[in-house]
Amino acid sequence: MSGAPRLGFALVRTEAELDAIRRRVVNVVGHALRTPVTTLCGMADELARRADDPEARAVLADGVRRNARIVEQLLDDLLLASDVSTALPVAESADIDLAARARDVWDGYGDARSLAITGEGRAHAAPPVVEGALTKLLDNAHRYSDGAVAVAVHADNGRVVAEITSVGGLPSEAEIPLCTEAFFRGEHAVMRCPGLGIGLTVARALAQHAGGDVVITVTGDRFIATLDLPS
Amino acid sequence: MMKVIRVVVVDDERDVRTLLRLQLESAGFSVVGEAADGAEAITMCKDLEPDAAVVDLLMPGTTGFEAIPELRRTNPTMAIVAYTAVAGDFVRAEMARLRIPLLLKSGDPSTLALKLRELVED
Repeated sequence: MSGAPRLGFALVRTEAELDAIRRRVVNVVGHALRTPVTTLCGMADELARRADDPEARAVLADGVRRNARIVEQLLDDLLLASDVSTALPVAESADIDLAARARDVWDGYGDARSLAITGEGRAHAAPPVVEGALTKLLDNAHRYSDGAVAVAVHADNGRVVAEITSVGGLPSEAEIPLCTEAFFRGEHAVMRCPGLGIGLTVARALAQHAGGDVVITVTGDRFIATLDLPS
Repeated sequence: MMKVIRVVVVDDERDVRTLLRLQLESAGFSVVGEAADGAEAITMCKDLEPDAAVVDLLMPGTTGFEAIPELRRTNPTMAIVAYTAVAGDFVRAEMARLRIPLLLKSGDPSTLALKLRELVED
């Protein structure tokens, strides 16, 4: 008799936990989609109203394209974070210069902070997979760190490693193991800017697909994302 | 003749700022400035002395939560509307505590326009 109530209680509690997770996921997905979808709706209305204003229409058309791509990227990220392999890029393996790609990605942010890059090394994998993983890790540093960002690349024994180190904006000790969990966002991240909490999850999924991995560590005031790939 | 209300829009998303500018100008407002975060908004509102500010809450750098009390101090007569994508319990409670009207971002600007007129003309 004593086993059944315990089992029943455990099932009820698990259901409640699953319900909480479901609500959390729907909440963050809704939040991330709300801004680009709302912007698309508003811009579509303005495009329709401004038939005689080519200057405004050009600005709006750019905005529609940009926000449609944001939604498309969100969709891909959601599928990858949910371990749906159909969203994985398809491409032949090639040699990719990680330092050069990191420079290109960072320059695209227009961030006033300069990116310090040391070392060199080439990954050998499908370019969109490697570039996707690297971009997600740099996005994370760009969005959440307060101080300097650096990339150190080194190759050894058939592997290449890129360590992306950023200062500040740290998760708490308890949050560190959860950083690559899908839909988890640390307290600092939530207060800082909107997001799905899947960037590091997607980086890790892509790296693992390429035969590598992503590991997150915190040392002092430094957040370190280590991307390990075959070279 | 209806007064032209001078507005500053504050949002980290450039496209949201662009859309708000076009929508509010179509509705008869004058958008006198666009700020990408709370710190820029504080400086801009001090300089431009707008009638109203439309402020996003979650932004990198100085958030709307941090900027609104300072905007209240530096521009005490300026109307402020919090304009956010999603409003959870914390956001609703915090805006109620600060007595700041809270509106959800929408493709339809009419609710925002009505609220701005109500706040500035009352």
